[in-house]
Formats: sequence, structure tokens, C-alpha cells
Amino acid sequence: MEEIFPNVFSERKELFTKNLVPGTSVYGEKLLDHEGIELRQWDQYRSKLAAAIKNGLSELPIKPGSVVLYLGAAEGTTISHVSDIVGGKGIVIGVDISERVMRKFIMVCEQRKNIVPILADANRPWTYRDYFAGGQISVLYQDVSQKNQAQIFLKNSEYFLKKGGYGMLAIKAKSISQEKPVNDIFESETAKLNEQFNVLQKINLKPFEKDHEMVFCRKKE
Amino acid sequence: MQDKIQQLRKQLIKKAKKQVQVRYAESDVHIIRAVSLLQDLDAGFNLLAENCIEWYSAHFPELHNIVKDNETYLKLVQELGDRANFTEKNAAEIIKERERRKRVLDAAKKSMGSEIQKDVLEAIKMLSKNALSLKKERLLLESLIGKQMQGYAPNTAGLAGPILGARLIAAASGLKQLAMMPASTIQLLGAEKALFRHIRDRKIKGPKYGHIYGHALVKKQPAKHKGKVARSLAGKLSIAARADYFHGENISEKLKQELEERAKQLD
Ligand SMILES: C[S@@+](CC[C@H](N)C(=O)[O-])C[C@H]1O[C@@H](n2cnc3c(N)ncnc32)[C@H](O)[C@@H]1O
Repeated sequence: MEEIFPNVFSERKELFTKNLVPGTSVYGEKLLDHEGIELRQWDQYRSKLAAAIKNGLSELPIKPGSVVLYLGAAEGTTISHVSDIVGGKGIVIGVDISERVMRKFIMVCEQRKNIVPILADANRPWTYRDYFAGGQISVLYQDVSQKNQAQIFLKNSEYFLKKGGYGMLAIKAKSISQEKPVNDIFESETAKLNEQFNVLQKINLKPFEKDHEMVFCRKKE
Repeated sequence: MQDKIQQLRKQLIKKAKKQVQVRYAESDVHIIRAVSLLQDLDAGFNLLAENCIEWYSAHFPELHNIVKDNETYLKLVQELGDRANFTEKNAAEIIKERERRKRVLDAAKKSMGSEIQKDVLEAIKMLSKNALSLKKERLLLESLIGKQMQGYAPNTAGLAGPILGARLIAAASGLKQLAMMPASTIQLLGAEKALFRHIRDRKIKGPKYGHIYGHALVKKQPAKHKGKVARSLAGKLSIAARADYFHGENISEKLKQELEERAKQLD
């Protein structure tokens, strides 16, 4: 077992995070003890962030103490690991538009004191801007599978991400076009980020996700 | 600082809970569940009915040739069971047509089916009972959908009929979404599979209409007019859904008339 990033562990093919709430598993994942600390298994087939790490993410901008805005929280699968990583001093704000997934996500938030749920449309960041003074977010993470995903990302970055802060955008090619070649889509979506960001790394999520790319970028100063 | 964040966090959890609660108190949530269950109940019924027919045919293979209606067939199995019980008196209630009844009774006498053990027959009867209870549940759901639609989306229900109206609301994921949709999207609701097939392979023709194809007035049209009537229906449905969502007055009769006029003009 090796700690590859703070609070992120790896052994053979598997990833783990240090459980913030020992004794509880969030979605049925395996718990195990490693030299007195409890780890939760992090399945790269169920989480795009884990898949990006597996496929060679150079640096993990989500660190202990980070303040993360997470768009597309869904039922909280990936977010629970982000919550493990940022730990008690960090905070994760999870936004999702669907009441159906929010039911489960709220239960995850109640267990983990560093997650805050917001039921809102990420297209309209002004509807939740009052909950945090602008410019405080250190990492913007987005996985919403929407046609205008780049636009949503840029809008939220404008509102909340501090200069020099990091962005991670999961691009799902099929949400953008069913016909265009996948690589062209990745190319043109990434190009849209250039006005605000420097792209640091692009990671294809094969074989864990089909036609997905994770763009890792940093907001210009 | 941490205290303040925790306070805000608790407040936001409360708020999200409230929002979820409000959403799930709305009728369309139940309408959507009920109408999607309808399809699963039909599938379940057909599956059980097929099993029952297959099995009972060991005892009375001719019956399925004469009684094609699954519900009637299952009732016969459940209430009469053994072929020996197929008498005029027992069958009269279930098979209403005299001619058909006579054929069934004749066939029962001359059947090539084998004798069946009592406990095997009991198992088959249980199967038919379960299938029939799914039919009962379907009726219950239909009337529930009818009532809910009447209260929640009277214009959509009036124009499309409660079940079709409910299907459209479900396909749009809610009355609000349906009300916001352009008519051209409403026209295709329920045709997503065909649409994606077309997008993947342009040689396959794109669909012209989805669920609304099931509307009586569209069905009734000759092929060359179907598209026009469907388009007009989609336009009226979009007006109806908006009236429902914004609690407008009931205009479904007026919309229906306009639609019928439109269909007449085409002849
Ligand atoms: C692919 S799932 C995210 C999975 C999640 N990141 C994980 O790994 O656990 C996409 C989510 O985005 C949400 N979503 C879609 N459009 C949205 C929008 N405009 N605003 C906020 N959330 C949205 C959906 O409700 C869905 O839960």
C-alpha cells in the first residue's frame, strides 16, 4: 500500500481513500484497515476522478484543506472520496439539479460534516452565489454530462473560482454530439476553456469510461 | 470560522430537504411512477400469461386456439381448472359468446391433452391468479392516473387522454418541463430510441412522432395526413401543458375542437 497523494492510497490495481467517517461505507464499497487507518475502496469504474488518477493524473489539486465546488454531485459517490481527501479542514459544496439523486446525496451530507448540498441548476450560478462570498473556491470540479458543459464550467469559474485555482472538467463526448469524431469534440471543448484557463493535462478515461476525457486546468492569474 | 460554516451547512441541508419534499409532494411524481409501472405490469402480465398457457396446454392444448384473449383464458384456468369442469353452467359467465363457448366445451370433451395431477393443477392455477391480479392492479392504476391527471393537468388530460398525457409528462420528466418544451420536441417524445438510431445511421429514417402517434385522432388519419395532424396535436399539447402548469383555465375542449377542425380540413 502506497500513499500516492495525500489521503489517496494505491495497492496493485486498486485505489483507496482514508475514511473520514470510520466504520461507514457510503455506497457499499469495501473498507479495510491499513496500519491502523481505515481505507475505503475507490472504484475507477464508478468514479471518473479515480479513473483519471489511474490513467496518470500528474497532480491532484484536491488536497487536505481544499475548498471544492463540485457540479453534478449525483448520489455522492465521487464526492464522498473528495470529502475524504479534503478532510476535516476542507469543504466540498455539491450541486445537482435532480431531486431524485439529491435524496441520497443529502444522506451522505448528513454523515460527512465537510459536504454541503445545493439543489440548483449549474447553468444559473447566481441562484447559489449568496452561499459563499465570491473567489473562495480553490478547486472547481464538474461532471454534469450536458451539451453546454464547457459553458457551465466557465460561468461557474467566473463566479467562484479564485485566480490560480484549479479546474477539473469531465467531458462526455456523446453529450455534445452523437456524430462528430470523439477527438474533435474533446479538442473543441478544451479550446473553449482557453480564455480563462491554461490546460495542464488531458486524460482519456479509457477503459473505465467510454468516450470521456478529464481536462485538468488552472485559472489564469 | 468552522462554526459559521457548520451553521451554513446545516441551513443548506435543511433547505435541500425542503426542496426535495416539495418536489415529491407534487402530483407529477406519482403520475410518472404510475404510468411507468403500467408498462411493467403489462410486461409482467404477458410473461405470466405465456407461462400459464404453455403449462396448461399440457392438459388442454386446444383451449388457446379457441380463446385468444389472455384474460378470459386465465379466468377459465383459475375458476374451472380441470377439463372435466368445462360445463355449460361453469363456462357461461366467463365466455359470453355462445358459439365460442360451444367450441370450447366440445374441445374439452375431445381433448388430446393428458390428465393432470391435482397439485400440478394447483400450481398452474396459482400462476393464473397472480397474472390476473396484475390486471386488477393495472385497472386500479389507470383510474388513479385518470384522477390525478384530472386534478393536476386537466388540459393535457382532456386533449391527449389521461394515459397518453401521463406518458408525455413522464417522457418530459415533469409537467414543468413539458410546459417549457417547443412543440417540435413534444412531437418526438417517446421516440428517442428511433431518433438515436437515425442519428447513428442516417440511412435509417428519422421518426416523425413519438407517443402522440398513439392518439386516436392521429391513428385514424390516412398515412399522408398523419404527420400534419400529429404536428398540430403537438402544438395544441404545448398550449395545454402551459395552461396546466400556469394554472390557466380549462381550454381542452376548445383545443380539441380546433384539432378536429384541422383534421377535417385535410380531407
Ligand atoms: C454523470 S452524473 C455525475 C456522477 C458523479 N460525478 C459521480 O461520479 O458520483 C451527472 C449529474 O449531473 C447532474 N446534472 C445534469 N445537469 C445539471 C445541471 N444543469 N446542473 C446541476 N447538475 C446537473 C445530473 O442530475 C447527474 O446527477
